[in-house]
Amino acid sequence: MKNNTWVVLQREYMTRVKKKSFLLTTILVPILLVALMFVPALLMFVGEKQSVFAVVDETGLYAGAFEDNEKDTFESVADTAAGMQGMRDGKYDAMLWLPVGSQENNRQRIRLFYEETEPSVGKISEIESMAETRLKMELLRQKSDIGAETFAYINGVEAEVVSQDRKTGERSYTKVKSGVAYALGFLIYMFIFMFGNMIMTGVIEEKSSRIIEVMISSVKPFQLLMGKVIGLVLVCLTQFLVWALLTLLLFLVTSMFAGGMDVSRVMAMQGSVPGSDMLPVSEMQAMMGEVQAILASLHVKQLLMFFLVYFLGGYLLYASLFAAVGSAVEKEEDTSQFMLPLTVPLIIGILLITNVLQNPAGPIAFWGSMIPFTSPIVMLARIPFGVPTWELVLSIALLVSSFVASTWLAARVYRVGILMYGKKGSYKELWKWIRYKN
Amino acid sequence: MEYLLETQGVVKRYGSYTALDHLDLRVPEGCIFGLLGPNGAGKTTLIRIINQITAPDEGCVLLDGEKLAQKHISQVGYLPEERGLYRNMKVGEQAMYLAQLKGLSRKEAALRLHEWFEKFGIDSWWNKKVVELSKGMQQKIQFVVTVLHRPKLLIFDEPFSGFDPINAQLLKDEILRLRDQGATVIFSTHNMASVEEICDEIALINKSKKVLDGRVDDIRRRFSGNIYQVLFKGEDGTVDALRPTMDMVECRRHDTPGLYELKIRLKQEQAGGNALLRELMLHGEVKAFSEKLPGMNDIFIQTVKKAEENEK
Repeated sequence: MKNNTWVVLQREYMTRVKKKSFLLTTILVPILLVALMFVPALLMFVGEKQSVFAVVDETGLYAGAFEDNEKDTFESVADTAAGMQGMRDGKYDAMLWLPVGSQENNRQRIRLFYEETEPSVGKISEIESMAETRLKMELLRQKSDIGAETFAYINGVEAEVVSQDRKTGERSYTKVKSGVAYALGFLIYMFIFMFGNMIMTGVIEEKSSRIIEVMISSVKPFQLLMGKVIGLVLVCLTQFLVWALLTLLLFLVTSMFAGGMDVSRVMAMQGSVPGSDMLPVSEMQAMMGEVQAILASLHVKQLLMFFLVYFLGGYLLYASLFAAVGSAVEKEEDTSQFMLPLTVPLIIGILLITNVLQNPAGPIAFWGSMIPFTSPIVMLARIPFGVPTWELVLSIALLVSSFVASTWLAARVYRVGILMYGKKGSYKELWKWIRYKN
Repeated sequence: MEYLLETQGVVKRYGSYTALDHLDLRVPEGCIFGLLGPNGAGKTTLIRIINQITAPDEGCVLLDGEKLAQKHISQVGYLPEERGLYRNMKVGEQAMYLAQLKGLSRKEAALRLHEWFEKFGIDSWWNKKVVELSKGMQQKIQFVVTVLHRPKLLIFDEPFSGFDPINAQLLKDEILRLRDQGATVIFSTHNMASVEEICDEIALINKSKKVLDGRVDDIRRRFSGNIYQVLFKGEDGTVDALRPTMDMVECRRHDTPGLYELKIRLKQEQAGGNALLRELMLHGEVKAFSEKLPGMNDIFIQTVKKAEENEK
């Protein structure tokens, strides 16, 4: 009767894969992903609403300091009264007032008057930096004889840390890695939740429709549970595969469709580099090279492998527990009291990621990636930064042994729960079920 | 006699609650065996043990003389009282799925399913979703799925509930036919009329213990109290003259003049109905003579009440 697991698995897989919602998400997600890559670039062409600033400069230092750009234009106004009037007439969206400062002449207070919509932090810091640059230049001109060109040169200084592995000589892209780490941790969290919930709903459906009574005379509860858990993970893997293929395909097609708009240009646009469409070929090649270097430093293959390992481990750890919760209730509304112990560790895992990114080898990162309930999320966030092999081995071993334990425990609750009606499950009740003999 | 199913001293406890207390049952091969008892008596627990959904704490269950094991699952068909189907699955797919779980190959399952569906006139439902069917229609499918793998032992828990009289009759005929083909049927119900009609043997369970079992005829006779129903024609005086010599339970004048309906209990020294009949014939004309057997309903109530009194 071993192959009953197989029969159950087939049904779970086929009914889910044939569902319209599965087809829809499988097709829509890659489209969304590709759209997310291209839309920012497209938005740049469309542009935002422009705002017009009235500038009242009482110091006489800032003539021409505020340069117009694609979003904002600045217009000099004689005094605040004129500016206010202009705002009332709808000629200006906001007004900058630069009064003569106090004794401290390396400080400049700027007052920004706005109407209805408050300017964003980004806009304010943009204005601040334009004013600061001008003030610095003015001060330098007063105290020394540096010309505008020299100033621009000095003002443009930049320092960049490029970290590199001593042994392999590989460059690391810490910022990119942080993004990837966060995204991976979040994906695991999302998928565990999504598919755990699917299992739970399935169990509740079987119980409330009473088909379980018919089923259980031919299938052992454990076989049923395993058929469900494995069937669903195959659904998930199918989805991953289709997503990966479709995304790749769509990306290639869209790139070709966009003609000259190749990868580097899109990336450049996303980085909001102004005038990127005028980049010379050599620079584009350099960018392509960099993209390749980033991919190499991420060890994509290795990353994907660990993603699968931790996804499977985490899924198996939680899936049967979700099924046990489903078996303990008769309606979906009653699940909340049992869901808490399942959701809290997952959410803690997500919250830990921020800390892990700051200190990938710290104690929180270490323990978070060892405790099986958070390790799939936390370890995935650590992996791009490099994790000692023994820690990986230990973490995976712990995860495997705890999903074996959780499955065993969940199966004991499940076998009693699915046939228990009218009794509201409580933790005390569940504990009793676990101890029931066969 | 050959027993298909035997339970020996089966005990099942849930915590401090005893669901079955040293239960001994013998179900002969090829009979319809009524499993009776009030709600909560332990019938469902017993059925679950036979289906190997749960295992007894003590005692053992023998099927065909062998201790119950995994391989026997395909030899048992169970139609539970509370039964359902996947609402959004198609009828055919669903039946195929359940048949495969009982170990049938896809080909074999499809073949037999179409056969049964045609017999019940439901082959056109194959591609319908379960949710579109009425409850009675769903139950037909459940019945088909239960018997499809030709199990030696069939367990029906309230099979007729929810059926209209025509379909109930159809089902009853099918059950009897299956028995005639050699299947053994355990039939759990609260409908005592259907027990009298189709059961060969019964066991009555009350509060986790067996309180009564045996052949239905024997049991009814045992509970009859040797009472005979007589339609008697005689003079007014003769009936009164009979009174002192016979244990007259009831005496009623029939609508037709000169006719009497009598209920007479057999006396100890009378060996059987014939002795009574012979005696009656001496006094008048016996128009009808029959043993009055009590209904299973009365026996059920009487036995359960008695068991409860004994407990006190």
